[in-house]
Amino acid sequence: MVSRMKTFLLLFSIIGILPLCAQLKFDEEKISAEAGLDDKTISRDFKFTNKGDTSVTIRAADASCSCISVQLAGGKFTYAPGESGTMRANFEIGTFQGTVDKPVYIWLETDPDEKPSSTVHLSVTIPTIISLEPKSVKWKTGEDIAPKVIDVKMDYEKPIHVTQATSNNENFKIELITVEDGKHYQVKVTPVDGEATGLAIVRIETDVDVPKQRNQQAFAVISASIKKQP
Amino acid sequence: MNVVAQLAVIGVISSIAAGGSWILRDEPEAPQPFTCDPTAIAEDEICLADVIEGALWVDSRSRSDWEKNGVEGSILWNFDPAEDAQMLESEAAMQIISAPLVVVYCGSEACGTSRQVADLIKKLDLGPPVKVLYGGWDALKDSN
Repeated sequence: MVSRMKTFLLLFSIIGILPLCAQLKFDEEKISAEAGLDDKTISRDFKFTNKGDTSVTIRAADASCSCISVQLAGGKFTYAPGESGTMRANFEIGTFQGTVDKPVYIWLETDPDEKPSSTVHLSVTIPTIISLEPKSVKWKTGEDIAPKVIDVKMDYEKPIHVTQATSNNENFKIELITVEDGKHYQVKVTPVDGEATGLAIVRIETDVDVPKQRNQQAFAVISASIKKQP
Repeated sequence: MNVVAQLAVIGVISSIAAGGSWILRDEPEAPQPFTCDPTAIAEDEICLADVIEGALWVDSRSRSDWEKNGVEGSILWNFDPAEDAQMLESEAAMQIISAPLVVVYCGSEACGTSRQVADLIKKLDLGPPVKVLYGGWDALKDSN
């Protein structure tokens, strides 16, 4: 009787511990990718294996960002011990720039909402072919209204020309200077009235054949000086 | 004792233990509201309680979420391909120059988009400090 009870308790303990052993192991926890200039989405596959001793069911996979959608190959959610699968992460590039690192969280059926058992990362680099430095030029009222320069530099296989630089605010004069044709330009911004606070949008148009990078903008600002109290 | 009887015994013992716990510790605690410890957050983050009046709120969720329940007076800035990125940037710039503080939030602490928007705003260098709301929408939701 005592022996049967011991056996039962042992089995009960094992059954209780088994879910803790259930786990997915991803081949790569971070995948880096470089987007093409015309890409709208970029997809990468995360391969995984159930290294546990029992079947696992993936309850959810979510990136907490509407820019990423996640699919499990074949719509399969349950994996036997030793079985492998593939999770595809689709990143919608949208208007992201530079390097974007997005986590994707994976919850198994037994995971609490606040603690997914696995996290993988998709890191996407979106090339910038036209860079503006700085993105804004600033003056304080009462300050010398000397011109300030925005450098426009191209990093592309073909020459890119700045075709026009304009301001939406008449209080800022704009002059376009070619430093190296197709490679490097300067936009010189000069306030007319240094006492008139305000912001101007400086629009820089180019002839690049990548539509979403064709037009760029920078800002010019005159802000009020902070006067010392007497 | 057969297996069914043994399971029944374990079930009874568990129920007694659970009942005792209920009596001794009162009823189970409700989910805790979102909390923020200013000493434990990243340097570029801010707790909701520390956001000053007049701060400019930037919502980096989807337009539909922003329209549904965005913070009053907030502006939208996200990376949705359906949005005009330059329009969002210029509309933001016009408000940022007169704000004492800019606070960006997205759907949750984990979403990350708010930090990318905050980085863009910092690059504009238009003056005010720029912070990411710790907890994002989860923090705002719990404050309502």
